[in-house]
Amino acid sequence: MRKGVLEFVILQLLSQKEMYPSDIIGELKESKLIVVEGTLYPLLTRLKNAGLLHYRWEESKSGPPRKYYKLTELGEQFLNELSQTWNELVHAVKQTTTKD
Amino acid sequence: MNKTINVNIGGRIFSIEEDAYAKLEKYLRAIRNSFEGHQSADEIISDIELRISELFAERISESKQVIILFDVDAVIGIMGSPEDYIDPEDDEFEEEFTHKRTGRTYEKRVFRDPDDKLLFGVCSGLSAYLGWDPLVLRAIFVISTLAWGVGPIIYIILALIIPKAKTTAEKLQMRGEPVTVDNISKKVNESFSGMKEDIKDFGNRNKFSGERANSAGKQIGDVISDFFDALGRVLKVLIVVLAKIFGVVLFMAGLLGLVALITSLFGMDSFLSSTGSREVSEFVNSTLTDPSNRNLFFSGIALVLGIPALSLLLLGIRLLFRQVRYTGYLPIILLIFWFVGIGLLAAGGAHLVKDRRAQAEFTESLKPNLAASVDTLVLDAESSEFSRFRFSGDFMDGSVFFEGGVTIPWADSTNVVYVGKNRITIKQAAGDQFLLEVEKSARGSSQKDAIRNARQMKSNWSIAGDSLRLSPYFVLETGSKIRGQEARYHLFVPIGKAVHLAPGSEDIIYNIPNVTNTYDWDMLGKTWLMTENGLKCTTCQYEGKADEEDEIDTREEYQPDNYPEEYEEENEVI
Repeated sequence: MRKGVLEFVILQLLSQKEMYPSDIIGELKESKLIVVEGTLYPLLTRLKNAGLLHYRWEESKSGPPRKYYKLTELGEQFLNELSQTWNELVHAVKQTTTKD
Repeated sequence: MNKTINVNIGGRIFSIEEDAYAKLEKYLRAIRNSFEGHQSADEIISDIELRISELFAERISESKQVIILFDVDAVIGIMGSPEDYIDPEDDEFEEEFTHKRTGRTYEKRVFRDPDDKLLFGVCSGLSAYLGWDPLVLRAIFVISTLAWGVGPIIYIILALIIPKAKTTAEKLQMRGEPVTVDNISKKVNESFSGMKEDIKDFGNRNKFSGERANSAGKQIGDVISDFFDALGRVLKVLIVVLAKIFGVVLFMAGLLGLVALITSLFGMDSFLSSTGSREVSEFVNSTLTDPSNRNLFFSGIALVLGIPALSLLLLGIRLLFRQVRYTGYLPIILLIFWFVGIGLLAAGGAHLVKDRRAQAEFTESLKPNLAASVDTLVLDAESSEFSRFRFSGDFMDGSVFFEGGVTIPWADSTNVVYVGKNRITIKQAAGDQFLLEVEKSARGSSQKDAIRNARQMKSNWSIAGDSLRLSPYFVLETGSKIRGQEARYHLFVPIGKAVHLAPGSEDIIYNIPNVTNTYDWDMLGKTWLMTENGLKCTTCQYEGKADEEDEIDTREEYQPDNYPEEYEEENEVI
């Protein structure tokens, strides 16, 4: 069930604003979607390789430059499709669980 | 106080304690291994390093400037174990890792094992995959080589096809163990040298990551580079095998030497035995002076012969079992004991020499009761007594060693320790009667002792009709010392009377002078008349002139080989 959910949430977060991994981790940890941070990096790389994300380097005051990720147009489209599927899914689940 | 190392993580410098560094290094290596072959591996890892450097930066302040083990543990806790890095959605991971994560059984893969290899590690790698003992497969390969000759071909093909397990993760996969940080660290700790090799491999891998696609070519290069390694290893194995064989030989030689020595000294039939065949130990007792001398002597022999045997044995053991180590003083200790043995032998020998320094002899007149009418005396040996003995060679200066189980009528046969040879010669008698004398000699610590030792000799002779029979041997009985006893009989023959030497007298006659200088064995079976000049043969075919001619012939034969032939001819003419 987790499959795909993490990607959906990440895309959702990045659609609102540019973020660098530590920000994303903060958000995900808050919602308890990930337990260890290691999981995130291969995932981001995969989404980037798939053309859904792109990043830019930004200088940091407190250290080395950071990678800021943002959705691409393809990413936006994909997110829309995902949202639709997600809503359908949520609706279906609600319907079946509240019947009786 | 702890040593720290400066490291660059994600573009930042950190001071990190050694143990913390070791842990972090191991962790990053495990992660790298889990991304082995992933096309974005480098990118992902640099992202991870960036994040780790951020986490470290958060843990550093003015008052705490060094990363310690605790920080590394905490960061690892945040980042997760290498399995957590695996992205289940990623196709590249699907193949290798999904069933590893979901199932309890972990996929095994065939690799060549670089840690336990004789040639290229094919057998040990396959064995690890099959869960066998590598020895079994190696034996199969050797046997198939000997039986059909296909072993090396199959081996080379397998060596080319099967990749070498380079990383710890691959080595774990080879054994079918799950690739987890725990396992990797366990494996890495197993051999420090293995870890160093891995680190080396690591650098190479990153450098040539672009070429990795061309794995077949690399594989061949791998095999060739392994070839010289293998050659060296085979030579090493050969040397080890030779050393082992040599060790076995030395071991056996030493062991046999020790066993032979011990049994000859202490065994049933030994020199020191009190239960085995009595004759041997009594012979020894009679030769040596007293028990203390005997102990001295045999401790000496035991050390002088035993130490070299023991050294061979120890050397053999050392060659056979590499873990056996002797103290460096061992050769010195052995040498000291050996010299002690030499010293004991010398002391014993000195004692023996002292006991033999004097020589004495005395003459006994024997009265042969012969009828006055006897003109020709027949001399014979009493051979029936010793018919069982036919000694080919003499033992200790013309004497022979007595063998048990023979009955001698005139001696206590069960107590005989030594048998010596009697000798008889013929001389001209002053009167007109046959006379017999015996001259006995022996050695001892003093003249008196020597005479006492000489008196210990027992022998027998008898007169029957016109024949004198002399026993060919004298004996020494238990309790007497063997001290070079000798018995020389003299038969005095009056002028005008004769002696016939019966063939049986061969054993006793010795240096009988005669006018024709005939050798003892040529005198046998003939009758010899005592003349003014000495004994003269009366039954021989050749006489006088014939003998002289013989002498001339002999002289010619003694001319030197390089004598010129012409001269020789001239000489003959003259």
